[in-house]
Amino acid sequence: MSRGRPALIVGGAIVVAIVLIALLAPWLVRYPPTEFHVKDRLAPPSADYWFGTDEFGRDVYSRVMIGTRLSILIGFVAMAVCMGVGTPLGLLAGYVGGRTDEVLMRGLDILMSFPSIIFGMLILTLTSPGPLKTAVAVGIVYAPTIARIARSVTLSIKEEDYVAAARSRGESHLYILFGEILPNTWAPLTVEASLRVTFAILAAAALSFLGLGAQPPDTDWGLMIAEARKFMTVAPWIALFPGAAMCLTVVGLNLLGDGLRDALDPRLARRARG
Amino acid sequence: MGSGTRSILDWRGAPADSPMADHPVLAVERLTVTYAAEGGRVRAVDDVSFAIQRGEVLGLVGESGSGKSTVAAAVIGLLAANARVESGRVLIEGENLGALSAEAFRRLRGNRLTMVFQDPLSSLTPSIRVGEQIAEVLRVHRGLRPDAAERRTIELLASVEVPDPALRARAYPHQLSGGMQQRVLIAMALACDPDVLIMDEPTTALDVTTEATILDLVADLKRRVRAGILYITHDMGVVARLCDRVAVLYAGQLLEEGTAEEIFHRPRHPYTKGLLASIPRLDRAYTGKRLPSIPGSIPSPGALPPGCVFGPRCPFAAGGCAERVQPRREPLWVRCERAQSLTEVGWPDAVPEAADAGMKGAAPGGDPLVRVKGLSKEFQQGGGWEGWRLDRGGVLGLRLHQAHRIVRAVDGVSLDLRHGETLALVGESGCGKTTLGRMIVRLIDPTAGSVVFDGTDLAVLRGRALRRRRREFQIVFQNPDSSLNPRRRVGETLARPLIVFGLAERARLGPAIGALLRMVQLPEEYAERYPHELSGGEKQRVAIARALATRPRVAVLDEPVTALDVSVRASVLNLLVALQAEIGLPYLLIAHDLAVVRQVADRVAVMYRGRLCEVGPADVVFAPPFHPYTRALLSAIPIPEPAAARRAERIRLTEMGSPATTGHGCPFSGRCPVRIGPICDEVTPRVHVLDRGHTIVCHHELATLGGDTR
Repeated sequence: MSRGRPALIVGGAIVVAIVLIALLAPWLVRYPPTEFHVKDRLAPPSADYWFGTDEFGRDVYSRVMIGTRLSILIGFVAMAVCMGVGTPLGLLAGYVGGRTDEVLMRGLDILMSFPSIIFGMLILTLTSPGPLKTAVAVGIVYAPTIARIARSVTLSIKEEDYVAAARSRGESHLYILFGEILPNTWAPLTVEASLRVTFAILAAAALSFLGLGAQPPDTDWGLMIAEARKFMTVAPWIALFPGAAMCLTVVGLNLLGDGLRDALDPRLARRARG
Repeated sequence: MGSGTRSILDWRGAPADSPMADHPVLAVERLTVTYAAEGGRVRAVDDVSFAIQRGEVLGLVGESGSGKSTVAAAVIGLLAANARVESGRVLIEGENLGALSAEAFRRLRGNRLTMVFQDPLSSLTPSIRVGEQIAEVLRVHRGLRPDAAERRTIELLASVEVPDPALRARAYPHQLSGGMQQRVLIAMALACDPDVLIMDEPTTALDVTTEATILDLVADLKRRVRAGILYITHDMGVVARLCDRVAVLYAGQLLEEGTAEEIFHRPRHPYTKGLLASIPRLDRAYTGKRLPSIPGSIPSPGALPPGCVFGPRCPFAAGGCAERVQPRREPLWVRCERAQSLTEVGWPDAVPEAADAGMKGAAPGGDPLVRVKGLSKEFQQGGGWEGWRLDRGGVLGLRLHQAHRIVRAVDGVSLDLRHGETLALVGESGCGKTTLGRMIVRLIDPTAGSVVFDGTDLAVLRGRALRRRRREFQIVFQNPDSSLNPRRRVGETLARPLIVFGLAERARLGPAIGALLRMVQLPEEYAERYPHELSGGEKQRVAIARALATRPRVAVLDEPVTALDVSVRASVLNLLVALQAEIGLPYLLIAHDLAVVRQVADRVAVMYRGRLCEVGPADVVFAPPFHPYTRALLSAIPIPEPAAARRAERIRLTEMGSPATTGHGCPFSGRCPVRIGPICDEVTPRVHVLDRGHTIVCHHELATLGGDTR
């Protein structure tokens, strides 16, 4: 399956590596990430501080490693929220159709018409900032996209004859939705989800950058970049390394998503036509 | 049509400078094409050679996966990106196309070498008027000025018998019927007076009566154009009607080539023999309901047999010939080493079964099991946000209201279905036969009417009462690819009805599934497979097993073999007949193929635009007196027999007109070749009731319907 699909392999490897870093971060750090090294403030990368130090002399390498945890966690929790909210809405809208569909989808259209960051900020300022709330906010912001995809897949699958066969057996709507239709939506949704995580990570970083995500002394990449902003000209490494980590994550997830799309798309399945 | 328009395509008056050298107009020499696939390259076309002379039609016959479309794509230089010509050449008038530059090939294509594809709508650009699309070809390849191109376009449309060509030229593709779209494509292909015209299943997407008119057109063109025509099809009836010579393609190899006469009367390759024997035919009398069939299914290009490609399915294989690769053998030009010794041997007959005896023609006895009365279905066109209009009137001077167009898909149909019989519901696409079938199994709720089954009106059952009865009526769908959930193993698919209706304890599901698979003649191991690991015929067998798993008392079969390859249709039909003989299950068979219907049906109901025109026992419906529509349908069927096909007189129907407006008149009046007058449009036709429940709904006297109606 994976032969001849470099995107899937490279993307998968990057994502696995980043998840491992997130899991093993406490053992990968070289200094406690919040420890001040007052005499080494704003030190450039060196053998002692691989990624340099920030304004308080904290080791940027250790902070990037620890920051991975929150960034990735927020990304994946956001995706889970996004799928958890979007998929059932989309299935319902597509399956029931008619007025229900109109009302649900127009409602989602309204949500989608807000710029996502503004909408996320709205949710967070109405409650109170915090990493988990950031994840939920980002998840809700992106749920309409997932709902649209789930709906369009459902619309085509509900016309399939195996759904008609299930109806001719008198199966319940619940069984038809979750037994016959849902299993056929996961392929396109998985692809979309793996691409959505990147949006979620970026959106979460942006919210953290605005001070609405991770709260010190915890940190994530977005917050690190925000803190580094003032020293961009004298100590660019403070922003460079968390930025690079984010970039690598996004590239890895996008490659994985593309690879999955190719691997799961039945139209690309091997079949020589006669 | 005037002779003036015809002359532009009349090649007998062709300019004298046309190069009529010794070369065939199209020659394909030892062509081999492979596709990139997982695990290496797959051979889709293997050492194929043929030649076409000017004014000749070569039929390239093959089933899906035979490589026939790949041959066409290779000739016209439009192979898919993962395909590669491994060896061989394509020559037009002796000129090797492989040696041409991309630019030279582009100038050739659409000009000297043109093609008509299967699906007319997707072959036309939706947002450009059809006349403009033809004119563009003339401007690009022939350098005509716009006004000349426009004049020529209208001449071309007239020459392919498009009525009102100047008007139709200004239409967009979706405004034309399928038959008209195909005529536009043919006109476009003929625009530059091509040397070679490739037609890839040009009538497969069309209705029978429309197909007949297009075939007439192609047969007529053959005499008028100078091109050599490569006609690709799977339908032997079409081949018999049109082709001078026939090449039979199977699993990428040409198995045999010859004149149409030779192929139909003295087929030499076992596959050709089997193919011809297994096609249900109207002009042949069968003793039982069984057809001779070809065992097995077509090998996929990735899994070809190592020896003779047809070996595993061949009943004549002997002396290890199936294990040997069969090269082309020159004297007979057949890829079969036993062909010479088999010249006098025909394909083996169907094995008759004891249960079949006396089945066909036996008067269906007993009280009707299902009584359909006045069943109707109305659909509203344009719901939701559509159809809202602002009109004058109302309190405020303006009124918002929603205009619905009501379409009667099924209009007051009454039918009886008796124990153990097959009732065929026949008609063209859009006539409402599928809607009717789906109403009977309550996949669609009827607007009016009743379906009385065992004293209960199914049409009014709701909720739990309906769910309890659903076990008793099941349906088999047309498209096997859509019938099975791709994420479910065959075993899970078959287990579900057993669980839902409590027909097997969970512990005994395994043996029950095994029994179902054996019943449809599949190995029990198939329970572990996913649908994509099955061939089309095998999927349809699983779908049949799923429908019969509930032990239904009525089965609706919605075009059960239409989507299958020709060589596996017979075996699936035989299976259905055998199952009926075994359990006495009545079938409502929905079909458009009258030959299939003739083969397996006890009674036939002919449907047109939601209403029945004629009902009766099969032998009676297929003999005079006919309803004019039945007669037209019967005459439209291509007969797989060259002499008969050319002799046969066809009733040509005009294409679908606008629907009858009053709703009272005969639905067929708009296209009826023997329409009497306004009475047909406005007055409900008479119901003639004849012997054995034979009913014809028509204003004509019976004597008129029985005689020559033209």
